[in-house]
Amino acid sequence: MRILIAILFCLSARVAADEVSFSRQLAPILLQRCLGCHDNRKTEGRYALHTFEMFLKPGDSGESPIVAGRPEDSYLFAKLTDADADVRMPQEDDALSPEAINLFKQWIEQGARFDGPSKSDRLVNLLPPRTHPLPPVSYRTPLPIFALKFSPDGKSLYTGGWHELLVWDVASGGLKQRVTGLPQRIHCIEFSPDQRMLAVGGGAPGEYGEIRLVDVARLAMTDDLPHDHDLLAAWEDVVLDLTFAPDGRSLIVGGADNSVRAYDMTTREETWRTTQHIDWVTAVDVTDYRFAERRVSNEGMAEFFTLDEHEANSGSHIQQRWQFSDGHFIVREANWELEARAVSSDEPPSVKALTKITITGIGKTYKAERETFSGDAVQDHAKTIEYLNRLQATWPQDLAGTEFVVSSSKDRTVKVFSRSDGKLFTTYKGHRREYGPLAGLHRVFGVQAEPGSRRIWSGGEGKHFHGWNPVTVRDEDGTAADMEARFAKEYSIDLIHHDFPDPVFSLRRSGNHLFAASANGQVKQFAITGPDALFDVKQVSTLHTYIGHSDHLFAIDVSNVKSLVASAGFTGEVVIWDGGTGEELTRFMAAPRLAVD
Amino acid sequence: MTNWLARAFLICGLSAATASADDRRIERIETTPAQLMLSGDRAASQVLVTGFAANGDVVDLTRAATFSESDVISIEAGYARSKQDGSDSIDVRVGGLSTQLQVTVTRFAEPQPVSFRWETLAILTKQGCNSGACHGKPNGRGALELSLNAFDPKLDERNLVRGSFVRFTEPLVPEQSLLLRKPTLRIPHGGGKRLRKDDEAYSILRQWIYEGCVIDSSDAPTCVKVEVEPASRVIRLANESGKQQVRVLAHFSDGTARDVTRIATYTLSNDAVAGVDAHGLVSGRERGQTAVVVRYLDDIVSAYFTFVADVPGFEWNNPPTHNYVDRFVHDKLHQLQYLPSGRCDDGTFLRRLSLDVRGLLPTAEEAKAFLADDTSDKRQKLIDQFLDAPEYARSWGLKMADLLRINREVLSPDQATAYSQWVSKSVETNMPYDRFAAELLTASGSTSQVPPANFFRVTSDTKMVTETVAQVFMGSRIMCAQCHNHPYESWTQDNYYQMASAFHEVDRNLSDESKKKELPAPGSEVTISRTPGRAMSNPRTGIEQKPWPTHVIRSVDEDKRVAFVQWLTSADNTYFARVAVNRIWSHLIGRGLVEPVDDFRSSNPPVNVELLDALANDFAASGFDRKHILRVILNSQTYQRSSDTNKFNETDEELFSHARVRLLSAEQMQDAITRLCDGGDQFAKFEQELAAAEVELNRGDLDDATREEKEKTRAAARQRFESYYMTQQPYPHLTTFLKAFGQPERKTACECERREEASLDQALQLMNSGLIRDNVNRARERLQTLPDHQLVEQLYSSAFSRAPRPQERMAVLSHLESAEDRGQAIENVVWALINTNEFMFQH
Repeated sequence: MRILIAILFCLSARVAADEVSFSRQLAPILLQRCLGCHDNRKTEGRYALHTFEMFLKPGDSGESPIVAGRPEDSYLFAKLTDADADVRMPQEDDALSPEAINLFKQWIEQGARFDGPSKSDRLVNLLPPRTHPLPPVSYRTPLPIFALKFSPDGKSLYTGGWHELLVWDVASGGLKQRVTGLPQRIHCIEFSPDQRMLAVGGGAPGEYGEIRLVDVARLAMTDDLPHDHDLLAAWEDVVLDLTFAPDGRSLIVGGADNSVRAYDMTTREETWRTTQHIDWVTAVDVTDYRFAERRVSNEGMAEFFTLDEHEANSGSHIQQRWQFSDGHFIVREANWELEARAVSSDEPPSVKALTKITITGIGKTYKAERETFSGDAVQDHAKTIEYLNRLQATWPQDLAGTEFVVSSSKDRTVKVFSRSDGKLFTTYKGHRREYGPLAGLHRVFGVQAEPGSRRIWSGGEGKHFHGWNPVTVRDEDGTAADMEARFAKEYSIDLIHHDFPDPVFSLRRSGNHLFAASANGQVKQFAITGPDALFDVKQVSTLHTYIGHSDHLFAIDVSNVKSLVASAGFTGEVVIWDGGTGEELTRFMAAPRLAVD
Repeated sequence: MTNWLARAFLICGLSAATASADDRRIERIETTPAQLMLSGDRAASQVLVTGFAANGDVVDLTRAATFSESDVISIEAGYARSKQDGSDSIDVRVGGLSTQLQVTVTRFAEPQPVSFRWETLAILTKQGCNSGACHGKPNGRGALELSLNAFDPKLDERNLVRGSFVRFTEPLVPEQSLLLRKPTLRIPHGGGKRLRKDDEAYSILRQWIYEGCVIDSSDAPTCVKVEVEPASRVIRLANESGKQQVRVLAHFSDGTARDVTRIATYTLSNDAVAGVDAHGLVSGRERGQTAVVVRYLDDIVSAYFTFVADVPGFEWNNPPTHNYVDRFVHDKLHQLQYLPSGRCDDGTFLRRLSLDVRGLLPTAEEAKAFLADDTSDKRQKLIDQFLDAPEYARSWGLKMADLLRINREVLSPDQATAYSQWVSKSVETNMPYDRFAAELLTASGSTSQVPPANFFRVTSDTKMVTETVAQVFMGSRIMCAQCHNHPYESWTQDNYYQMASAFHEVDRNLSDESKKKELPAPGSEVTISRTPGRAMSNPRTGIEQKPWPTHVIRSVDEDKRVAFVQWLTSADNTYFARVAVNRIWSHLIGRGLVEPVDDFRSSNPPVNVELLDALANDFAASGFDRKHILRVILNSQTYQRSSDTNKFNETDEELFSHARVRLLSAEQMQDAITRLCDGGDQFAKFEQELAAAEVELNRGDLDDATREEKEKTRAAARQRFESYYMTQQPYPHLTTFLKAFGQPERKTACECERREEASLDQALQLMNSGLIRDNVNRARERLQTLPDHQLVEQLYSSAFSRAPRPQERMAVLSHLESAEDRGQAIENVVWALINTNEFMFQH
């Protein structure tokens, strides 16, 4: 008898020592077995458990799901163990395993303690970093390729494999290295601007997304490659694209959980996230407006907030502001333009000229007549001046120096966010076309900011790449059924008719060239900027059409150093082209030791 | 162990049957097929074992049978799978009976890749993935969009194999595929658990992914026919034998056949009678009939099962039969053990017949005369008499006018009247129905001069024409096929546009000079003409569709409608005659043999297919003589049955063992009230108006202005008289009453627009509407000169076609005598009679 008691005592002591961890042991079960019906999106019985906070909140039943210390009074526990399969959770599914149920029981008995960083964070973020399995030594079948990246020297090419990065020798097409410990499928690979780090994004569909940071220095260790790359963040679904800001300070990521997030690369913390898209974020980019700053300082030009290239042709921008370094400014709204100089902070600016601009016609019939008031005549328009002065004082101050994050989405829009705080600046709806043979609401799969310009390029379904300026399209934003036609009519976007019969899944800008890979297996290269930095869409021509694939292409990369273009997609075959001549250089199946049968 | 148990149960079952009725003993067993040929490493097939009893009962013994061990196949619950090449003879045993199943397996060494088109898509359909509520809805759910029931394999290929960045499949590690992890709930899935790891479907999907998600080559054989066995069966609900396994074969264009029993989808048309599981095992619950609807991709076929059971105390009483209608109805009643009610009495018959044929109550005089008549063939004579009455044409023309949607929205009063008259004339002259269809559907010319041309005016575009023709003449609700293959019928999207092409040449041009692009204004004159050679394309494929019937070669100049009508009205068209007789049957009996009457499809079988076929054949043989079919039905015992039920038919709702009690239709109700109160009916009043106008006009010495005025009056009276209810025009102010009683708005060509259910609005209308007040007033004026006892007789004869019962007579008389205001008392009595169920319903 004494022995028995001793054994029992030992057992209970052991149990007490082994405290069940909510984050490590229960959260994975809840995620896999419960979240399908009890999420914030789909909330059966008005009970959600996507966060620990919600997990404790009663649903329709009003009963407390968890009563610490008392499994028998905990409604959740009762539902997990009900003998009636119609009542028992999970519904329409097998019951949890006895081991899993026992974990819940113990955890409640032990006081139902939370052991994560934040009760309001989503459960998925509580999980410890997952350990990735090793990929097979040889691949039975090739995998589709979603990401390609040339090494900075252009000698190697990185492709995504099964839980690994594969490094190929560009010249020979041979496999040089396998970098394991990465997510199941890899959708994006980027070098940091200082080239010391590789950011790798991917995940398993419907299950998780991940961004891993690979230390480039470690890759030099030829054998015994490390498996434990830093995890920047885990997502709830696959990460589809990422990009470093030009200054290298932040990383912008978008993915299949519809969010865009920015990470501070110094602290490795998330700085902001936005879930304004209602479908997958397919691509992200960051504008680089340093050229504008340079121009201002070098040439003493206006520090402009809106671009005026189009107006020179015929476009009409109804809201503009120029701020000159000597304190004078031009502000314009509707058909009034005021040129003035700020005198001091508590005095109204001194008016130089007030101009009334009468615009007639649109597009090719566009005509602007200017009537300038000066001297005494200005006094007749005191109210207008007061209004414009107020605009000058309050208007786009918050945009000063703003760089934008742009994100394309399957929701048929491209959104523009402020890089610093993730606030929505505008939604570009131009991929919406109502009329004509090319009508449709087009999903957008690629977005690229053009260097040395304020132009953004976007494309996907439909027959055009759209080049547009975020500020201009915000001014002209609307809800017309056919926004593409509306923008085009106003000459505020540039359309390149790319003539692909199928959607474009990958869009890459390199220097002044735009490369696009399409579902029909073709890659096309366009020159997007003329020597004078002014764009003339009529002069755009397809420089090269690379024909060498016969199935969907998902990935493309360009090496400026070597003038190389690489493309790959559904079949897993990579083709490397000479970007200067358009000739095919190498072709190989990007799968290790592919069994040939 | 399992076999031993099964055998033990079977012996019990058999001995029990033996004990109760020796002739139910199974005498021999058979396998279907007798010889089984399996080809390939994944070949499998359902084998049925069927027992035959001495009394003719056929019993499914598939689950009870034992099969001898074999090297070439394995077999479980009758489901055989190939094991290796070779032939064998397998001993099949049930109790003491045995038979041989010859098996040959070939090409076992050749791997049999999974077919995307014929296996993967069938599984996605079977598991419900591509149903209208899930990924088959427009834009799908989540990232996955599939075509509804896999009608568009190209779209499915694009979205499932490559779509959303190849999200759904992982050929390198198939088990990691979202396509398998979601439905097995390894990852949260909004659609719940749809698949289990040990399902056949799971292993096929897994193999398809493992093989690299291969798509069938464009020249791969296609499925040409689906066959289900047994095609029909009578199943006795007793012990284990209330179940039946089905076997489904898909025949391919290369001449091969494949067993698809495990990947076909099963539903029942009547869930109360039986249930069906995913493997095609049908289990009976109670006596009755159901279609077992089998879907295999685009093909839908049905097997027809009848479940019978012995009802304690039931004994067939050999009721008299008048014609084939009764024979087929009785066969069904006998089989399912329902006992028909007796014949209704003369008063009920008169009232029922008059309402059904003339749309009117019999007059008191007619009732008295008929009740007094004691000749034996008086019912038959009355039927002939009513069928020749002009009211027959109006009443039955109205039914057609509903379907043709003769309404005020697009037609002018003149056009509507001319169109209505043409319709009612066709009923009156008993125009053969095929000719009626031909004149209607090939009409050309001005809508003001060619009445049937208004058909193409009311149906304002080709799609509406197509859908109307299909619904009215073919009983097919084809509109679903406009955007995708029909989910419950074998109509494909191509078929829809082929039918549309037959009518797409039709032009509707404004006849006057102002040829505007906009829609013709209501009532404007439109000329129906043709643009030869114009056809419609399937918007999904962009391929122009040949006009239906596609096998007929027609020159460009030929009116494509002509060949269509010839196909439609040919004696062997499976739709035309059946739909027509079903409509007639439904109008007379109160429920269609197919219900709803315009929803013919294999998944909605007739309750008595033999009767429907017999009526349809008779109809075709008679030269599509509508009156003939009416006469056949009206003279049958089935029509003349009492609505009183007996112990053995009180639960019957659809086999016609007793008459159905029905609320009078809107127009019948209005006329019945008018006739009861006013002596005449609405129509008689129009007739009087017209006669009066004629008299006025024929008086001499009229100056021109007066004459013109009086001609106008006559024209208006004529229009009301001639179009009656058919144009829904003469007295719009009456329509609140008519609407309450279900007068259709004629927005669609669906019989269902005429509502038949009772409503609160009806009760309120009958209690205190203006129509009731006016009529009750008029009844007082008309009847107050009659002495009390005569008044009672008169009222009961006109309202119910019978004499008052002593109690009723007493009650009315005492009310009249004790009243201070006799006029008021008469009103009360009339009002009370109108508000009785006996008045409002046809019995």
